[in-house]
Amino acid sequence: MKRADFETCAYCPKLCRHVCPVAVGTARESTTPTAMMTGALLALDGIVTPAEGYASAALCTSCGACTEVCLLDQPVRDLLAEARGAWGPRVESLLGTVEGTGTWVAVECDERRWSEALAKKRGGAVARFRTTDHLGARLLDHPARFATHASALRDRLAGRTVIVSCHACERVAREAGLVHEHLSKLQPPESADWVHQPCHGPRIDGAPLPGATACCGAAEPFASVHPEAAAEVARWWERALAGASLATPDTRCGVALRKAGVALRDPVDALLASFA
Amino acid sequence: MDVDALVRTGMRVSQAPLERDAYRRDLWPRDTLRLARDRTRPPSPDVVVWPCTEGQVAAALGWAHDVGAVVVPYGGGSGVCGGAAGRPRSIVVDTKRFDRIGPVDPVARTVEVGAGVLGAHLESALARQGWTTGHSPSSIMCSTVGGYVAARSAGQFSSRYGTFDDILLGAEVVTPSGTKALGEWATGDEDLLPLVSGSEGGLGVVTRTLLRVAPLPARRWLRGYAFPDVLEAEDAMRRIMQADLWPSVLRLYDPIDTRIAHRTRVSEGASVLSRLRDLVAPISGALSALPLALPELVNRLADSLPGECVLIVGFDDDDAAAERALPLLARGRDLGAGPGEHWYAHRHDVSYKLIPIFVQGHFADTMEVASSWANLERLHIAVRDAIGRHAFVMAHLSHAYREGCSIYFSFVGRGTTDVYDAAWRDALDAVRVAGGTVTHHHGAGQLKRDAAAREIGAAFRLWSAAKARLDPGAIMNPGMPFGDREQRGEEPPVLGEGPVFAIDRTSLLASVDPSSPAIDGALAAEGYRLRYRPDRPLLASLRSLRRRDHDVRTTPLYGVQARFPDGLRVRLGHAPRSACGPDLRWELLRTAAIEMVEVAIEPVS
Repeated sequence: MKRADFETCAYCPKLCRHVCPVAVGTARESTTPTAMMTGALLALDGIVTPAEGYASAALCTSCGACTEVCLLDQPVRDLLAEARGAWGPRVESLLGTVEGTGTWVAVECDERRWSEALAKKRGGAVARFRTTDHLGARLLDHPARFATHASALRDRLAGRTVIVSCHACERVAREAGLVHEHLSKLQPPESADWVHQPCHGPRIDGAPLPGATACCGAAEPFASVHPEAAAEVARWWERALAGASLATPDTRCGVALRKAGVALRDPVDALLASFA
Repeated sequence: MDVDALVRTGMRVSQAPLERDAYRRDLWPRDTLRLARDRTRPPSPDVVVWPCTEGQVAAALGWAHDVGAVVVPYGGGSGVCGGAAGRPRSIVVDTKRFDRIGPVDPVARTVEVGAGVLGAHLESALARQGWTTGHSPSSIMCSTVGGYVAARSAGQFSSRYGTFDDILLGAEVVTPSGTKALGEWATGDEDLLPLVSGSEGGLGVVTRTLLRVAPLPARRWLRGYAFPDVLEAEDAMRRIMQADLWPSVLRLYDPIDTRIAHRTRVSEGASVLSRLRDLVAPISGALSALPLALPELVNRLADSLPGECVLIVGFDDDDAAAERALPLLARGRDLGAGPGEHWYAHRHDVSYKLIPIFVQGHFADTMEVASSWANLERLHIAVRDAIGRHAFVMAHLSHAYREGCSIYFSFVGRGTTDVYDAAWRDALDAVRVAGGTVTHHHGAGQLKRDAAAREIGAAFRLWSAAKARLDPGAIMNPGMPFGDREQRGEEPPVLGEGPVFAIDRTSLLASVDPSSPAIDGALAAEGYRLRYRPDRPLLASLRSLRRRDHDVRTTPLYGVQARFPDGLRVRLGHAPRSACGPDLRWELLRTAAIEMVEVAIEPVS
């Protein structure tokens, strides 16, 4: 990691804070991209511990909104991912097993079971793949270890089409080279007052919530490392919606937003409702 | 520190090191320089809280009093003078959870806005409803409404929409002596809004505001004009303002700033430094590698280069005014819409340009001073020469008024804080000697508090009285905005024979005895009349004015000279405007014997 890359942001007058979902949602100075990069810089300088540097870098949701508005084109997302990779804890991923038969495999990453409903919709068998860590999404910050993990995933899911419903699983599937499809393409959510366009993953038709930031706080590893801040970001959406309903193509975002009290509609809801 | 009492209020409370670390400083370039060169930082606060109700703010202030801590209110931390900085045994009150933007009242043309709302978010929300405050500081992405109140901010379109003083109609502030409603929300006769606005957190924590709004302009006419020198262009600016045309944009770049501002494109990776090297390379040879090593020489070389200066002119939804401005711009060369549109598209870029300078171990800073039109050139030369001894310096004129203008100096230097401090010391002295104000819209902070205190002189007692009343324990951001003790300024001159003591025909200002019934006659004899025409004796009228009674187009008062009961005399207020702490002129009008007021005039014909 080059110190100067982090310095540029550390000396910046926080010119991207207004688009950062974490800075806006939590209303803290310590969660601006400037502060995240400063935390990393302090860790590089040995002023704070690597664990603290990791915690700072893990505040980033990797939505990339900061880089979009930065006239210096600072690759904040990539630099913070590099910092997380360098200082983060060792992460293991438990590879689940494929249950059932069928060339399609539904990746169920929250409490809901939807492979049977998808099978009915498809009119053919759909296997199930349970994951509690979004197919090992946190390994994405550790490129070498992710390569090994991706190889194991490819072995386990060879010859199948993986159906994912969230951005974290989708990104792992994409980076691992799995043949995959996003559930929202097969089953869009029911319509709502506004739509949520996730910072990662597919988009859906509809009017986005005016003034909304890019991320709802569900991104990993942010949500796992900073659950309190992630909940604050989701609550920002709840306040901004003021009782209006929201449709999202992404179930991971859906879980976080629903927990914050948002009247939410996502593809799994729609799928389960249509075969209830 | 035991924070259980704070936690019990339900607000978020943190003592985590990295959370506290982020509140060590604002954006004072001196701190950035120290961080970059020495890797040293100011102390961090002990506790940070994020209240979302006035009750929680009051609890935080009460807790601070009980444990012997001081309170630092904090918005976006975008101040550039060190006004919001952590300090030992302090609690930071972050206001950003006061984030509500109310619906616009289209009849009253107002909107209620939480103090923690970022300027960019406010303007986006208003634009969706077809409105604007017209307040667009270059810090708009990272500054809050509460910060605009604290430092009496001014935005890039202030010549039409006013400074934040004009936009702010009401506020709520939590002080150690209780919660106060101010301005249009005030319930009694006394209005503390002028005292709280500009107090830089020294009296309390502003939580909510009532702001004036205007319809979002459908068209913005923008054009650039090249003038052979600053004085010619300055004269055109003055004539446009004194013709009551109220342009939204009127910005004049000196030849150096013209070269840099209109050639630098951050997206291409060019920095101010590299442009500076480009600028001096043709004539300075080897010196181009080290343009900051000999600032006096480089400034002289830059001055000797031939070059025009560019004036950007803009009008919002007012084609008639734009048409009327054309003859006043006739001595300039019409550059078309390009320069104006370029400026508009890049109007926030300057903040990005400064960052690489610090990465390379140098420093950059800005200084915004102001004076009347008649005194502007003197001030310009004095400050440029003072800074130029230590750093490469350029300037532009913006925030134009009928009576005067602000000069915005940008400078880039090389060296430690010793060089930085010397540049500022000389610059502030130069402003004082040249008769300007040391701050037009950045506030005072650690950087200028002594100079600000010198500027208000004996009026410091008005601040002390307000402080003793609203913050008797002196826990609110101590030392801001005037330091802790009076700095004796120069005794104001003894006035001659009234009722008109002086007329500044260039700036259209008159110094008059406001108690005299003969002002109109005396001015008429000189061919002028008061621009603000009161319906009762001038002094009584000024004393009864409320915030909504005037705006940027009808500013009723500039300077005030008065005598305190103990015989001490003071002069307050610099035309066209000073942001040296709160606007104490109104308090002075109420509490002292007024000898003279400086007011706007206009020719009778």
